[in-house]
Formats: sequence, structure tokens, C-alpha cells
Amino acid sequence: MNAMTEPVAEDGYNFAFLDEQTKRMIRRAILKAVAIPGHQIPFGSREMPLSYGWGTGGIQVTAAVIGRDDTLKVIDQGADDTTNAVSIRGFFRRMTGVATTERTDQATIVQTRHRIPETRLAEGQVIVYQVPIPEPLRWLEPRETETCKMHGLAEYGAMHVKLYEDIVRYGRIETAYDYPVMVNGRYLMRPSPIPKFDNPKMDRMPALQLFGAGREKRIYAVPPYTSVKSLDFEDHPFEVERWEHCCALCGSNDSFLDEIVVDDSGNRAFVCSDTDYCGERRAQGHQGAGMPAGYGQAAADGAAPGRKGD
Amino acid sequence: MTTTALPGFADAVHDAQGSFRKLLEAMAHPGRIVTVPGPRAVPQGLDPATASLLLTLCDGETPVWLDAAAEAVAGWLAFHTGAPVASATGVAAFAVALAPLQMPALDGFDWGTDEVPEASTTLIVQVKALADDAGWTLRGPGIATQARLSVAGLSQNWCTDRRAMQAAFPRGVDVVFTCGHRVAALPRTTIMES
Ligand SMILES: [Zn+2]
Repeated sequence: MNAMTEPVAEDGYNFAFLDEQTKRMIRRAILKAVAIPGHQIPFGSREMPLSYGWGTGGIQVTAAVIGRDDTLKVIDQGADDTTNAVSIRGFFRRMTGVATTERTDQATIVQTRHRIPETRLAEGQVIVYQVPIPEPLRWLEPRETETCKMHGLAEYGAMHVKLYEDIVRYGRIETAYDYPVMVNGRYLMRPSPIPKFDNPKMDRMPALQLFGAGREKRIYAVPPYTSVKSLDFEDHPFEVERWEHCCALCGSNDSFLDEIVVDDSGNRAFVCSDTDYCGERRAQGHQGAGMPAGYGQAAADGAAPGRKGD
Repeated sequence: MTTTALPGFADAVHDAQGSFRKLLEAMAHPGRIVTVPGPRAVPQGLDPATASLLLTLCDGETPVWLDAAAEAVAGWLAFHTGAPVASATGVAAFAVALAPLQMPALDGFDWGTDEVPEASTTLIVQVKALADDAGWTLRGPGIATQARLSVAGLSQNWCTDRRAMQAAFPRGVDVVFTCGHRVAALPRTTIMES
């Protein structure tokens, strides 16, 4: 690599913003997290120049991992062009100077909020999840001393009962996002608020999965090729969302679809949540049924209008 | 030049990142042999990879236990990292063994607890030879089907103890082998077959 073009941080900042002492502390936590798949490791989360809810845990994990040779992709709800994703990508461009991309297959690190890309991640890639609440047992037991004991003894019976009650009450499991998983047959883990549609992608994924919760100061991980099973029951097997529609833009019938409002009169359409995947399919010549009349040309070129944030 | 005054990484920020990233790859793919960048000089007795990992991971918060063969590098370690020497194996965040045959028994190191399994020692064991086409058959997280790893100079007892440790999960120690510039890891999840 030419020294003239070596990626550098903006003047006055250490590479990747964090000081070296903080990086070391986070790196040690990441290594233990990989050695104990699905177990939450406390870490001394730092103040970041973005507020909580903007993925400060994921940002710190990425900052501790990223190097000059990396290519970073940042998505929010599957899209590279949402405010959160643009902001985090800009932060790393300023603080590292590394290359960024929207192409899943060209990224070495993918930082994400709320989705796993449709394009299968490969060995050597790292996916970093932004986690708001890391504790899967929180809604059963608010006391951390108790949840620690439950994880320590793998006492997860109460979680099964709670999910089963959901089935009895609603006829199905209500939890559509952040659906709990069992990692390597030992630790119950929250996958972050991804749709349960994405849960099967975590199972034996060839890429390394890292999770960072900034406000709650926890890091956890799933190594490559590790079993990740969504909780279910013999008489009620785990099921993912299915749509009667195909993507209006690329015609995909197997990707996660967002329903979007396309014009002032309230017309709606279904499009891929993963904008890179959708764009790549269209570039290969795939076409959907098209957007309803009144849909703007800018949107047809791949922007994401009307996408719900949260 | 005294051992203490030897230079560390040529580029403290990027060499530490590069070493960490390679170690992370090794830890995520047990048995895989990776190559890490070394410091500009190493104290006598330390292989470049051993020195590199210590510079990358240690600081004032990590007591480091040194075996008798490694005691001479205490000054170098303190100068570059600020890491205190651990008085006993049971309180070490990291342990460095340059003489694997004389290594204390595995259960003398900190295995953590069921609730806090991460409060465990990471062993850095410097060995004479590493190969990934012979030796143990490894299975577990990070391994697609199986991996091989051959490590020179470990006692039969050590291997027996390491296998017995598997039953204590999530408690246990994670082991990193170094040899020259090369590194391979054996996290506690890895199942060792003969
Ligand atoms: Zn599409």
C-alpha cells in the first residue's frame, strides 16, 4: 500500500477515536466473548460523540476491531442511506479514513442495526450488531444478580414457559423481533432487534458475529460455524415471516420486505428492506411488478422513501 | 542495551491492531495458525509472537504470571505495558509459559466461575513447533467440520487435563500457542480428540 494514501484519522484524533487503553480493554472482552459463545461480558463503555440509541456499543466494538485494510459497511434497517447508518459511516470515515462500501460482499466489517444482510456473509467477514438490551431474561427477571445466576446454571425453564404462554394466549409466539436464541446449546442470547426472519442466518454463519451494547455495557459474540437455535416447541416449531408479495422493485420472493407508503394518497408497496441486495438484483436484470403510479423516479433508483425509523 | 530499553512496536497503534485482529482470527478459528507482526526487538527468550501478544493485550489492569524461564522479561513487560507481575497462577489475567513441560497444572490457573467465566486466565504458551496438518483433531465453535493442531513439547498430563477441563464449561482457561511469528488458539470450547 502506498504510504501517501494510507488511511488516517482526522487531525487531533487517535485512529478509530478510542484511546489505546480503551481498545485493549474492549479487545480483551471480545476475545473472552468469542471463547464463551453467547455469554455477555461487561466492559467499561466509553462516552461517544453520538448519543445512546445510535449504536454506541456497536461503534466501540467496531473501533476496537477496525484496521487500515478494512472496508466498512454500515446498515440500519437493511439500508445504507438511513440517517443512523450515514452518521456512523461518516464517523468512521473521519476517524479512520478506511474505505467504506454499500456492497455486502465487499465489506470486511458490517456494522448493523436491525437486520442481517440477505447476501450470505462469508468466512473472514465480521458483523457487528448494535444492541439496545443484551439480557434475554430481562423481561422475566429485572434483577441482574438473578439473571447472572440463571445464565451460570443454564436455568432457562422460565423462558420456555413464558414463550409457551404466548402460544396458548395468542395462538403463536408474539415476539417478532429480538427473538431469543440458544447459542452452542448453552447460552440464551438476544440477537438484537433483528426480525426473526434473520435468526436462521445466524446458525453456523461462516462470519464472526460480535454484539455491542453501549448503554448496558455488554459485549458478546458468536464464533463462525456455531449452532444458534431459536427457541421453539415440538408442537409449535419456530417459523419465520413470509409474504404473499414479491419485492415491487426486484421481484425477490425470499427477502425481508418493508411495506412503504409511496405517495400522498396512501398507496403502498412492498420492497426489500436490504437496499444493497435489491439494487444488486436489479443490476442483474431482475425486475418486480413495479411501483404504483405516483411513485417518484428518485425512489425507483433505489432510495428508501417512507421507511419507518424507530 | 538493557532488556527494559528495547523498543516495542514500530507503530504502537497499527501493530497492536494487526496483532489483535490476527489473534481474533485464531480465537475464532481454533487450530488455525496465523502470523502476527512482531515488535522491533524482543527480549531474550521471547519469540516475536509472544512479545507481540503481550504488547497488544496487557496493561496495568492485567496481572501477568511468568514462568521461571520468563521471569527475566518482567522489566520489559512493566516498561512497555505497565502490567504487574502476578504473584500466583490463580490471580493471573495472562500467564506466560516459555517452558511448557514445566508448566503448572491447568487447574492451578483461574478458571473463572459459572457466573463470571470470563474472569479466567488466558495462557500464552510458547512452543518449539506448531503444525496444522497433524496432532489433535479439534471440533467445536469456529470449526466448520474439524481442524488439526500439533503442538510440540506438551506433557501427556497437560493434554489429559485439558480434555478433562471441557466438562467444566463455561469455566476454563483459553490457551494461545506461540511459535516464532505464529499463533494458534485453543479456546475452552474446543473439543480435543486424540
Ligand atoms: Zn428487492
